[in-house]
Amino acid sequence: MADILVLEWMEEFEALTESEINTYAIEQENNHEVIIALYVLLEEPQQSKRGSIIEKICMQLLGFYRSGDRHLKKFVMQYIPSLIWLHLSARQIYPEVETLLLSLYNLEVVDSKGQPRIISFRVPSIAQSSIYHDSSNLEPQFIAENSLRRWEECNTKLVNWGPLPQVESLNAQNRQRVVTALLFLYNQQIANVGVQGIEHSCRVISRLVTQGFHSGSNRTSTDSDSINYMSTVPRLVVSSPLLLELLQVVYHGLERGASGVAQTLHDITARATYETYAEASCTHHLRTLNFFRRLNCKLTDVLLATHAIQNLLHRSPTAYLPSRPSTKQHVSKSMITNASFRTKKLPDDIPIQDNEGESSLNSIVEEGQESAEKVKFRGRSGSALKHLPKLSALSKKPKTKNSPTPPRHSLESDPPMEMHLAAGDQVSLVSGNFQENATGEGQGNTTV
Amino acid sequence: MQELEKQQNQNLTAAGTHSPQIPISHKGLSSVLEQALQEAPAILLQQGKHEAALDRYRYSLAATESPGVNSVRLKLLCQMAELLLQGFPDENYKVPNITSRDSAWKPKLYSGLNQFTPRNKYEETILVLIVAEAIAVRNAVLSQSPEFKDARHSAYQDAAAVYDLLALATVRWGQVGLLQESLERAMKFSFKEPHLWRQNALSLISKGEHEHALAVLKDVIHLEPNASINCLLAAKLCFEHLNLPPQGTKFSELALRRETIHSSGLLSRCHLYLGLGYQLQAQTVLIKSDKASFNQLALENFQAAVQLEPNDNLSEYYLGLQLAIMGQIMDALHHVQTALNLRPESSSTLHLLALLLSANRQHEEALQIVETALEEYPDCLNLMYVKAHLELHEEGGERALVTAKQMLELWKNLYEGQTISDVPECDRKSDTRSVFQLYTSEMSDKDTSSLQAHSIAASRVEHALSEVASSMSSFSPRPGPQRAWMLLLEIWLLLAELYLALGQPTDVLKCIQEATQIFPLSHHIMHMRGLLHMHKQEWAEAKLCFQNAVAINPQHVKSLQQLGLVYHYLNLQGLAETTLREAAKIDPTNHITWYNLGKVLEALGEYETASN
Repeated sequence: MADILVLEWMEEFEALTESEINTYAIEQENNHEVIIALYVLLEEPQQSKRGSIIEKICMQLLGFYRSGDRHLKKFVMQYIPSLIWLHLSARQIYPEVETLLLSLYNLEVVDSKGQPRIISFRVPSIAQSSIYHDSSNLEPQFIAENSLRRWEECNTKLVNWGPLPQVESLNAQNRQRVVTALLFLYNQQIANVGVQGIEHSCRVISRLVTQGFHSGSNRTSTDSDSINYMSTVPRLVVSSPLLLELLQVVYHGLERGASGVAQTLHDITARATYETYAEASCTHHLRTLNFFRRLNCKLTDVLLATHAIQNLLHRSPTAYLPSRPSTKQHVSKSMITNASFRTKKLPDDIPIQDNEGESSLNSIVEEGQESAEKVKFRGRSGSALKHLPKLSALSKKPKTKNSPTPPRHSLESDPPMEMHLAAGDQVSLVSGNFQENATGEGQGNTTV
Repeated sequence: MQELEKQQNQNLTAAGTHSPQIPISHKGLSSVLEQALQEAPAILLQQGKHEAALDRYRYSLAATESPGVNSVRLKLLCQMAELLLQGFPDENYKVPNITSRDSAWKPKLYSGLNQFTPRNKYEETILVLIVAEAIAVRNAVLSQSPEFKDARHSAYQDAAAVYDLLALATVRWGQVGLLQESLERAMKFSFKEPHLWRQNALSLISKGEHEHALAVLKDVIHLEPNASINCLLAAKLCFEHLNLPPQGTKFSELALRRETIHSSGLLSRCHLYLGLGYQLQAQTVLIKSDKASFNQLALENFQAAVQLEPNDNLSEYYLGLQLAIMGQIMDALHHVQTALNLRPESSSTLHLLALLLSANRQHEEALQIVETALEEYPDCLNLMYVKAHLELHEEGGERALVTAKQMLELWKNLYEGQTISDVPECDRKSDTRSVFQLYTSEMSDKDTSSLQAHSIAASRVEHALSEVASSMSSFSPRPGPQRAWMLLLEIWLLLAELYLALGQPTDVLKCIQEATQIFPLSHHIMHMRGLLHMHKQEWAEAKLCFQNAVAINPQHVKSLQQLGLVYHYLNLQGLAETTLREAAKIDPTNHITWYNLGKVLEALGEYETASN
């Protein structure tokens, strides 16, 4: 089905004249049917009966890219993950994909004037005042040697991406680099890609990192029917920078609420844990050959990032809970925090029962607001519901410790009413907080 | 919706004025104001107005802080960072431009002479996050008493969110150092919190502070009693960086125990690691029976790994390597070929295959393999090294010389830039370079077990000696990373060896001189000098050179062999015998040693022992 649609779409493009290209380009961004059909074809090229369909698609995409139109370029860029998957998994069958990727890369690493493209930025230092903070208010531990040095280097030492060399042909040595660079560029404009596009990309990424691995009892594969053939297929090489970029795609997908992304994250994590040792032992062996320790431990970075994302996920209910009343902090003033090292006297006479009472009240309030927030943040895409159950299956810790989790499904099914509820809660919160403020001021008086 | 927003915006301006001006009496914002501050950008986001939301965040945050609004600021900062991290498109980003408006109702903004103003979204993301970190650290609860458990937990969660975002923002750019400093501060308040500890350990590894990382990892291993991953990480550190194979083996054993109880799909990796540990230990021990038992253990573990996961090319590869070390060339060939089928492009597997083929006297096939491998890895000096040797053997010295000269050129292209600038090159670039290892010409065509590691101690001694030399004489060590220079040294020595094979002693001398300029007291250079003198039949000088080489690295088998031979020519047969026996003890499988020993014994008249 998809291939017929795509073929018709190609013929349409060929019939265009120069003047029509601009309007055509803008139209393409909304041509959802064709966009999806292309994703499907690139994902499962075997299903098309026409053997040369991939070749035609590649020609078409290259034609789009070369036309120089901004919209058409974006149109091509959104297929980069799918193309990479196709290239890495079936290089011999589809040599045209290699050509396409190579020309995309060579065109992308230079800017419009033909100069190598460089993305660079300064690393800000906490020791230097900025538009968001005043360094003189900071505690001394932040004005350490490192941050001062970073301030000094701030304007001279830049963090760079690029310049990247032009590449004549893809070989084992530069393949990962080229692919990573392309994926980096994809990530630069990922916000323009539709949610469905990201879902497709994530599915492809899952297959990329899990191909050739046994799906044991602990590792659940995305598509269970392909397990059998997986065991005979070789694993695909994935370098650590590439994994990092893939992770970025997944992170973005999570934020947009794309479905099935949690599984992809799980797959990448599994691969990263696995690969760290692979890389390690690989370089390790090389060390036994020599007395040099040339080590590339970038893979730990991947682990670092995956753990970060996973942790963010676990806590997502609280992370997206921006409106937790801050008054809670004041009740428990006798706690030792870093901030309290300045204050000489610590008030010991605060009744802790109040604390308890407040927190239970807070948690009730949180419940309402949290669900309201959920609706606002996740509600942007309708598919948020689908991946929630998976998330809870993934998380190892209970999601929230102190606030009881509301039954989400029922809440999300009726967002407008929830909004009202939240508003009502706010009112009650206000009344609760006047009291709160009063006690807070009272404490302030006692301390002064 | 619009109305709600307007109403809240009005609230917001009110909130802004309250906070800076009446900070003492007004300890916290009332919740309506707080809600308003946070809702305004959220509503804008919901409407798809990302730029407007960003501006709102900026405006709220640029207002001078007061003690009461800290936690609100923290949340706003986190949200803003998230917005920026979520692939905020570049072309929509505008440089923040916040001007203070003169009105009593507007909040005071941060101002100063030398303010940092971000120029693009990456700068702004990191800036926002480090400011957030400062607040989070200040709010963190240090006391461990149970009554503050909830408060401590929530403060910790806030901080962890900041660190996670910071990790996302920095890791992609290789700025792990920044992250690590922050995590170090976090250790103070994350007692018994495995997540931040593990992150700290990982960032330390990434940063290259291995010993510190190992210490932190040990704690993480205690904190997470079920995870085998951490043990394997620790084992990896021991093997790779700290040169502690026994300890690494212990960690691997621990990992294996944990893995058998709580499986996480890493069982074959545990075996692989254990095997590696034994392999390394086998290389370092001198007693023959220990060596054999370690080798056997390594072999068993590799076999277990292969059985558990027949799809893993690394297990196959190591099994092949272990078999090669134990001298079972045919079996090794078989396993290496399987490994190659599983991953056709692994350069080290190709390398090993070429070596094995040459060990099996299939030089032409080996040469073909190397040449095809070089097509895929044109920058791999390692493979070129093998190629030069094979060419020397197959097609004569001239071809090999061409290859060696290509290597010199390649070195110039790849590493000269590094040596000129002192700045350690950025990680991003370094993966363009192939991992080139040196091992000297021991890699002969006969025996792959000569893939022996040079003892690291020897290289340290050399290093120290060179430093001493440089402090005493006018010799100044060249700037730049050591590794690049060592590569050059190897190439020069290779050239010297080739010239020696071609019988051009003057060229050999020149090459040695070039090498000496790089690293005056290397035992490889001494050895090469000795060979040159032997070529010229200057036995006394040769003896001196080999003695020096052995003094620097007592484990250098080849120097011992040659020394024994020199003694033999000098008619010091007794000394020759002990030297050669020493060499045989270090590497019992080396045939040259035995051959030389045989010659010496023959000269001694002990024909019976010689024939053994």
